Amino acid sequence: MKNSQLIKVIFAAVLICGITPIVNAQSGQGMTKQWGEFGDKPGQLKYPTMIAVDKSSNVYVVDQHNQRIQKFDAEGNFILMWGRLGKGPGEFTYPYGIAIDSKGFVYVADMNNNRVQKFSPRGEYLASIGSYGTQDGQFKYPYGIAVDEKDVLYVIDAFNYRIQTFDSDLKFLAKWGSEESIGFKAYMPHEIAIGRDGNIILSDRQNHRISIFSKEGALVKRFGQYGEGKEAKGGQFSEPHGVAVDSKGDVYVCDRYNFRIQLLTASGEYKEHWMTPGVLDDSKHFPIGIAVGADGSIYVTDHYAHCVQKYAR
Amino acid sequence: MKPGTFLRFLKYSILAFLVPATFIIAGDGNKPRKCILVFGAHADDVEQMAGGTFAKYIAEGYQGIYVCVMNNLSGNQIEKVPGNWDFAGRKLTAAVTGSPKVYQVDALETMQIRREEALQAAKVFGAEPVFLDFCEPELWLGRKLVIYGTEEYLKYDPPGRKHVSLATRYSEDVNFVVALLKKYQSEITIIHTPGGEKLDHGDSGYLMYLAFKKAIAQGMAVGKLWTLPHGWLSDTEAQESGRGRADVRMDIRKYRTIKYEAWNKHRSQNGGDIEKGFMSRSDGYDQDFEKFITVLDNTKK
Repeated sequence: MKNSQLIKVIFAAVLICGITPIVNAQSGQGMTKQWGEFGDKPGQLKYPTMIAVDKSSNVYVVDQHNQRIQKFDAEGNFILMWGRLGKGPGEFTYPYGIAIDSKGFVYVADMNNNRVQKFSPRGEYLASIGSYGTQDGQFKYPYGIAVDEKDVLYVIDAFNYRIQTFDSDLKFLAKWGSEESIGFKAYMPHEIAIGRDGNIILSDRQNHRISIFSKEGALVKRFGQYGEGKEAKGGQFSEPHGVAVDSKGDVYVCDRYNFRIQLLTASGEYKEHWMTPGVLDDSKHFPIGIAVGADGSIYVTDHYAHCVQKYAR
Repeated sequence: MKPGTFLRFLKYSILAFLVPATFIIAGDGNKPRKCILVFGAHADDVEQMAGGTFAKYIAEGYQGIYVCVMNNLSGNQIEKVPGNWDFAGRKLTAAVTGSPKVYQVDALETMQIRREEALQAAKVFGAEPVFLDFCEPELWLGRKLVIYGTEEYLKYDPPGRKHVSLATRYSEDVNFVVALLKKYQSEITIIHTPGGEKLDHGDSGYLMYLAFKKAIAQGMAVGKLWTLPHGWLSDTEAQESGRGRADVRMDIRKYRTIKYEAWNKHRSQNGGDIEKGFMSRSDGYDQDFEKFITVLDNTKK
């Protein structure tokens, strides 16, 4: 075999077999499942945003441009869905965040309706809080939401630059996060998660940082810096989006424009990362939402590829 | 009084009351209200087109209606902040986050940001904000620009919605604006140059022009329609013919502060310092006077 032929064979072999090793080169994380495609039929998705997993490993996906929530089993089999475009109970106008409490109730940030709605695990409407405004219990575009172990709901009230908290009956509890109180302006914060220590983890997207707060809103730690492309090091971010915490307390971050998931310790030290498919196509993918199941499986929504990816831990 | 006589008396009494009342209602309906309606294609176009005139009329007791025609899905560079825009070099020199790159935020976020800015700007004028939410001819998906007419655009923004590029073809889109004109019956309505400037602005202007004509044809009490002396109307031939010459010259020097205060609320567009930014690179932008062409005048019958 000539050298040139040998090179071609090697190149073809790399093309055929090498994608997975490239994608997972950093950590050995493997994508075990992917489901969803663009469309409005059950199981199809249009611009999914956030994702949550319940104790039974059911996966709830915010199917944003279909204005609905879809529920799947851990392998991506469609179970049920609810919602349509509108302003009435159980309807949505560009929903964004989703969270599940200890009893399995589902909370959805109904972003452009400026409210949070509560549903049963079967999608039955139960309650709602919010309208447009600056008062307690009002929102200017609620984005990411999270529920702690006591079923306190944390909501990113993006254009009011604050976090609001509610009990499981959606009764207002507290608010915090002003520039004066935390010492910086959280610029386009998107996602929120609860740490094993009860601290609140916020992805501060346009600042390319992750911030950790106490339950009362005191800044505990802020870490990360801008880094993008091949030069980006671990612990550097380009518009971090979804955040999630595993059973050990480690923190997963969707590092959007680096097309990767980063794993950090609870205190923010970089551990490892793995690439998502976006690295192969600079424009048609990006990881946006992330959730960790009870068995350690990691679920990622790809906003522009209209799918969910499942990774084994 | 006999019952029949009483009933006749009652009937004529009711008629006597109703006839003049009808004339009173009709009389009010045929006269434009003290209202100024400015149709900006996007959130910050109201200020650029007619911010001083808008402030002037509102100060004189007119109701101000601040209209954003399109849903502002495009056009936002979130890191454009004061001191960062190098107008000579047409590039950003710094960023609010310290990042070296300029980011177009996603379409939905852009819409949210620009709507918030428009609400703040309308408040400065003391005007009522109205969002028509016509679709844009382009949108951003992350850092990727998607142009109207492409398959991807249609995925995001399927046909059937109010769209300024198609608006002139569909009577329901025109009727949507006619209903707005009927609601406010404004004495002054200001629009972009029909067909002028660029696609989104020109189409927006043409749609409003069609709606205004239809409103007149339907006997609505709309007053004057003013447009900017821009676009094709400002070319030399048109100017020399007299067809493109402004006939309204508004002294806005007393209202310039309000205009700029409102304009600066559109921070994502101008960095919040319009005098330092836009003005410094816009030779010929008249800061003292705003000029308009009276396209239609429904007050001269």
